[in-house]
Amino acid sequence: MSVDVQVCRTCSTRWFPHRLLCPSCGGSSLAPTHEEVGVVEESTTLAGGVVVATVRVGPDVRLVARLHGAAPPGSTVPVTHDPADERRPRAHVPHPDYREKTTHE
Amino acid sequence: MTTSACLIGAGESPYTRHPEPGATTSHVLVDAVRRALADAGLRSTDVDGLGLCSFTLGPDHAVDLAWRMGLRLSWLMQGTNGGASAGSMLQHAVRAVESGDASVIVLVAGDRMDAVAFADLVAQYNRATAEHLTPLPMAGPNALFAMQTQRQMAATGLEAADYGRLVVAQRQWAALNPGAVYRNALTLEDYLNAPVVAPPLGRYDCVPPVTGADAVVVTSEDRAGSAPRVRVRAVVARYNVDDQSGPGLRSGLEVCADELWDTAGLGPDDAQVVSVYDDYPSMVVAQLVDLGLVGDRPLAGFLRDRVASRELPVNTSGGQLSAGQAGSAGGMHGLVEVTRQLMGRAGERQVEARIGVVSGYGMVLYRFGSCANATVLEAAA
Repeated sequence: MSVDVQVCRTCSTRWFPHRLLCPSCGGSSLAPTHEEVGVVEESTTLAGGVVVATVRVGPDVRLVARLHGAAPPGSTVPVTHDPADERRPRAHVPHPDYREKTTHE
Repeated sequence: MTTSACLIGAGESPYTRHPEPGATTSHVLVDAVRRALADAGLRSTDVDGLGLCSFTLGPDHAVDLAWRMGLRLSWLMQGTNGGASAGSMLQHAVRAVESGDASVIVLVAGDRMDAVAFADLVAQYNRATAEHLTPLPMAGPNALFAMQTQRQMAATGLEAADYGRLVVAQRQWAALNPGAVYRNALTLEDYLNAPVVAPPLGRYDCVPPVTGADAVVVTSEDRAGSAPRVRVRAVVARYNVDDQSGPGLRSGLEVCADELWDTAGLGPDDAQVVSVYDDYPSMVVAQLVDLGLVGDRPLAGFLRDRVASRELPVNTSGGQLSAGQAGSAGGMHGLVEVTRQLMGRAGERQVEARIGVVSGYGMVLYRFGSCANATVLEAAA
């Protein structure tokens, strides 16, 4: 029930999507850290009612997420990779590894 | 120091929303090449350099196209930068003709962009898109630029009507361009009442995908001799200026505009005809600002009094918003248009201009584009 944001072990800068080298310091030691919540910065609605939002986690990492449930700009919402998460509101950030992880858990 | 390269021909394979079954990507690319060479008064046997960008040519590559056109080359490149491909290939081509690696280079970009090709392209645009955006589900970048436009409106105070005036002005130019796919009159009221795509974006804020291709011919001043030509005074490019971390309100040109104008020996107020990459009106605004064309003027007033009034001709083909976006030809479209304007070959939409500027922008990595470039051109008899 979280999102895997990457943190640089050298300079502590955080990134999403994951990078190969830290753009801030050039370091190659990057590890995932789990973020539980984010702040909705803005959103828009596509055909079919899909609500897409920019969600900030921590001070400066911005995710593109699908909102489920009402979450106006400025509100704090749970962020998750889990497509089976049913909390509302929540911000879902797709991740290709997630289904495999849940199978192993 | 300005470059010693010039453009001596430009061509566009006619854009269409509904391509015929035989209109393959290779066919529209070759058609654009033939038209550009005819415009330059050259034959394919005169060509010794080729630069190509296409999303849909696969499994073929640039050398396949060269082979199938019978080109024997000393210089070959394949660009991958979509809406920024024209400027990025031109930057390389200028150095190639200056160094003598090639003497006559054709740069071409285009795609057969039907509904299936477009859906495939946007779903697999890059790894980040395929893994984190397409499954949202999101089919293309409309939502990303809807949010970017919201941020720009909040930062600048621009309102829907300000963007509408840009779109309407481009449609008015398109009415004078027989190659534009949308030429019917569009009013500000039509714009404001258009079906919503992704708030605040409506139908007329989003480029229509089309099939087509664009090409230019690059050579050296020495090779061009006294032929009609357009000098390349400067070309600059930047890639990934902010790691997708910022608000995406700038195009990347803001960090190289001074270099562009210094190299050209000119300033933004010298520009007399402009083509900026117009995937969305907000990016037209961003590039006009970043190139220094707005300067200290109030932004909404600049858009109304300079652009919509045609005091500064911007996107005189109608831009992609009215002429269409032929896949990777998006950036080349503006280069062709300004070349035509400066060579006096723009037909009913011809403007009086000696200095033109063209910008490209593209390759959305996750939240907005990552590639930007700009070129200053000068008419020469």
